[in-house]
Amino acid sequence: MINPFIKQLSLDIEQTYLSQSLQGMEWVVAIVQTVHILAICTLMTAMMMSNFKALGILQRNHVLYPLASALKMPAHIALLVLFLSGLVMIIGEPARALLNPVFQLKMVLLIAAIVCSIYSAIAQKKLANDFFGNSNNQLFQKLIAVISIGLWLSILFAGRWIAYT
Amino acid sequence: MISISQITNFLQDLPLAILISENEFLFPWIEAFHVLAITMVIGSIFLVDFRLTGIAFRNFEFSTFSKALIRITWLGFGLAVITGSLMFISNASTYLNNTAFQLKFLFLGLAGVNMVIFQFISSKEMNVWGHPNYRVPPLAKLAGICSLSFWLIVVACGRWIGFTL
Repeated sequence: MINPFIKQLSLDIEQTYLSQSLQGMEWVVAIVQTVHILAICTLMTAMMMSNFKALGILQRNHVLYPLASALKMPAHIALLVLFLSGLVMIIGEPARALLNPVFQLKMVLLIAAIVCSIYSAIAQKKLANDFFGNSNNQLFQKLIAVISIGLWLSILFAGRWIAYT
Repeated sequence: MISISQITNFLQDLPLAILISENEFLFPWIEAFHVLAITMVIGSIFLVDFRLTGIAFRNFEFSTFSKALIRITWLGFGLAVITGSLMFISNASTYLNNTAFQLKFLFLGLAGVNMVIFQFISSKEMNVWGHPNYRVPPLAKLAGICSLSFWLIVVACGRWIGFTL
């Protein structure tokens, strides 16, 4: 069942000047979607590097090991770009996004992935300061990294499936 | 002599092509994996290009940095070729007559030529300028700028295909 609040919100957005203008400009939507994909590429690369580091796939002596830290800022910028470009896409086609169960699932997965990433970042900082590192904590951190990889991949797939549901 | 339309018709009539075009789940899944492949290719290539142009990652030694990332690029490219071919055969003649599709392949070709030129000409004395924080010669920088531009256009054309089919 569709939440009446979301349905009303979708209708309200659809009636705005911005939404109606975007509906007539397919090329703007295409450009925004391209920017969205490029931001996804940046964010996915950063998240994979960070999670591979947590899993121990990227060892300390590996040439790409420092990349996980170097990609933190680009990842934050990419997240902001994703939010803004996503917002434009929602305004352009509110019903296609807000009323779509796959879009709703994507948003839930996104929140879970961000929580995992924040937890992982805090845990990695703690681990760096703790020389003797508790093995149970390390195992839990690896589990979070695996869950995080799964979540980001699911978000990527859900993004494409929105167009088909 | 066999014409192009005969080839596209042959491809479209393959049992696998019919299965992809008629099954409501297959095409979206293949497309989702195509997007995953794009994130791997673009994510890794842009990292190398950013290092090459001096936009970022200047403290990485170039040859070891690019060698470590090229594996991800080829893995992603392989997946993109497989998934892209599967999508292509499902509607070969329509894709072949699509301007965005033609442009995508033109710029894919240009990106390939740029890579070959870099490998044989622009990468000369890489063991000198490839050191962290060394000045990258203009020719190598140009190769990085061209690569960034060509791949950006490839992604944009890829997205544009969806709006013009």
